[in-house]
Amino acid sequence: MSELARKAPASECAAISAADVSLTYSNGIRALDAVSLNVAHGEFLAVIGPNGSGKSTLLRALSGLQAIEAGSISLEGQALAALDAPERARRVALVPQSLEVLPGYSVSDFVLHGRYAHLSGWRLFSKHDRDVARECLARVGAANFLDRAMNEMSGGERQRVLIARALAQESRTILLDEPTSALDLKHQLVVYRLIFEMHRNAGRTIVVVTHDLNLASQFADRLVLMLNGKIVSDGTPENVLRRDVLETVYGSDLAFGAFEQTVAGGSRPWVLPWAR
Amino acid sequence: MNSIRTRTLWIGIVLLLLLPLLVLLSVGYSETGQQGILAAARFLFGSSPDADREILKLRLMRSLCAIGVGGSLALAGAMSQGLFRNPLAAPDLLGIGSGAMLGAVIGIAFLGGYGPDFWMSRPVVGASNDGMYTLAIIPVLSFAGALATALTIYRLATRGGRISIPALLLTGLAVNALLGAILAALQVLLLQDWQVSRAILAWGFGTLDDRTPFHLGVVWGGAALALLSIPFVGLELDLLAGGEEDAAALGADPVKIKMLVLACVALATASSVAVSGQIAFVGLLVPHVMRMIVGPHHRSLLPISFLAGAVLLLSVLVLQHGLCPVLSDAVAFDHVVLKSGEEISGRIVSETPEKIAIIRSTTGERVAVPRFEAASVSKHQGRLALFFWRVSSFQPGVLTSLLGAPFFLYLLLRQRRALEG
Repeated sequence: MSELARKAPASECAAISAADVSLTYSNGIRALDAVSLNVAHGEFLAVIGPNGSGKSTLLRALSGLQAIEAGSISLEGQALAALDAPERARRVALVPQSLEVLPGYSVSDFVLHGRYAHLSGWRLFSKHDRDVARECLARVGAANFLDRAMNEMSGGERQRVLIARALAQESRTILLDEPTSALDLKHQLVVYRLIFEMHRNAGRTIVVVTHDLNLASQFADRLVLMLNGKIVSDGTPENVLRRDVLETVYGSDLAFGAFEQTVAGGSRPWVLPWAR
Repeated sequence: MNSIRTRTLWIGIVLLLLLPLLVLLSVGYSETGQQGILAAARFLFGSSPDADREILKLRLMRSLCAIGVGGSLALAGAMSQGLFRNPLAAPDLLGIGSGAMLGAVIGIAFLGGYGPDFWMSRPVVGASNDGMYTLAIIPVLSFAGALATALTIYRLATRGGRISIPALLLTGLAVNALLGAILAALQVLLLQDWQVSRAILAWGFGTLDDRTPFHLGVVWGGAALALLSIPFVGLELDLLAGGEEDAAALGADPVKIKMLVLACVALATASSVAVSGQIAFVGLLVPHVMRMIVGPHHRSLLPISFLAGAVLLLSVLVLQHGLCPVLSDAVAFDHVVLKSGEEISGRIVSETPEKIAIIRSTTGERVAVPRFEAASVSKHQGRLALFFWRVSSFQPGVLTSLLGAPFFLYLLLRQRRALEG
């Protein structure tokens, strides 16, 4: 757990608390099956699992975009269902996996949209809003993108701007859906370093949904493994990325090893598919 | 966006609005005591003779209605293009205009007329017992028709929060065909009532003549409400550009925005249709061109589209009432019949109490005729002059369609790849 999280007062309630959350899609698939999950303030949590395991649905439910059938979700002690849209957006920001962008919007317009939940009455951006947006862009190393068109950015650049927009939302929790799915190795690291920076230096609570077990292992404090809408394993990377845990989910053709040194501190396990 | 360029555009567009307004106050079928712009100037400063004032009031009414109608149509277009995230999604192409038409036609059938005779029989609109309240049935039903169509279209074309553009356009096509059939059936049923069917025909093509304060109230009421919504939907439409889910994640309420925008689109469309029938393609063309100039930000795109729509419709009127009669006059022949029976066709170049000088159109030679020899002097309209004269009496809706339909085709061709994909 990071410095900030450990320093948070014990009396403060969890950043996210989900209890017995269930959801069945109209096609009969049980996407979430009595999922219970607590995320502490300042924690870096990665949700992993195979395709269709319900991890993206869980993220959408936590961000309030997906209505649930049963159970309850609360953000910072407040029931999610009782929050109105701007209140919710001030508590939790979502970085989508991909975004359709119409031509004509610049990067700075786009990051300013992150300030929407903070606007009042006439919905005009103040100087403060513009300053925050510029600062957030600088923070992700995209200060010089300001006037560029959003639909002309490369995948890695676009991901950075999306993260800047989530930062501009000034929510304590940031949820990310597959942030590196379309990126090359270099940019995968760039993006994860940014997320890690938000976690460690800006004190944000991070929940990231990913297929990439090894990046999750290097950066996250805690991994949650999902299968068929249920959480099957929950713990530190060392405890979740074990042969006996992963074999039941991904099959037995796996190779294991360890990164000797990681930014998150100490040694962390890695796992790769291995066709023997 | 470049702020100097934007400011220039705003100033330019306001000037563009004033110019045709002055022209339209100066020209028309009825002669004023003083000619043209002078009469308009005297009217604006409140010193016109009474007879002139009445004529100029009618001209002003026509222009103000045109501003309201053109502006509302363009605003509705910009809003629905923003909501559906596609420049092809104009209210008339989606059938929202037809929905408004159907509602209004039912209202007209119920009231028993909407043409000039109808207004003549009600000299004091609003004062008599069948005044405003009964008349209001036309805009109200028109709004109901537009809103019902807008909601239906949205529902049919949306699947899982995503809008399929081919589905949207095809749904619009189907809805347009259905509403067109119902409209046609209604008109056939109403054929016996000569006054009603003539009123529907004359109004349906988009007329702006003989408009009353009632019309002005309807179109400007609708326009004002739609314009007032801009601070509450402008930025929200920008957020929706990234999809409904993304807008929701940023703290907007997509359902509320959609309903508000659809209501405004229906309101602006219905209030202009109730006043002047269907004037096609303004809602498609204007916002598209404005987007290319000011960019996609709805905060500026919506109001500037309103102004540009007003300018477009006023310009069409100037073309009709200002330019066409002048052109018609310019290409007409002067026709002098002499007492001897000889006829001279050509152009009169000078006229004095003693002599008329004509350039013969056949040979180009200059002839001077003593005035006492001339039996009659008249204008003779050739084919071209007649054509210009006819165009000047077209309904503006006919002209906007002639302009707009090719533009629509051009847009379709440009979007072909997106539509096929």
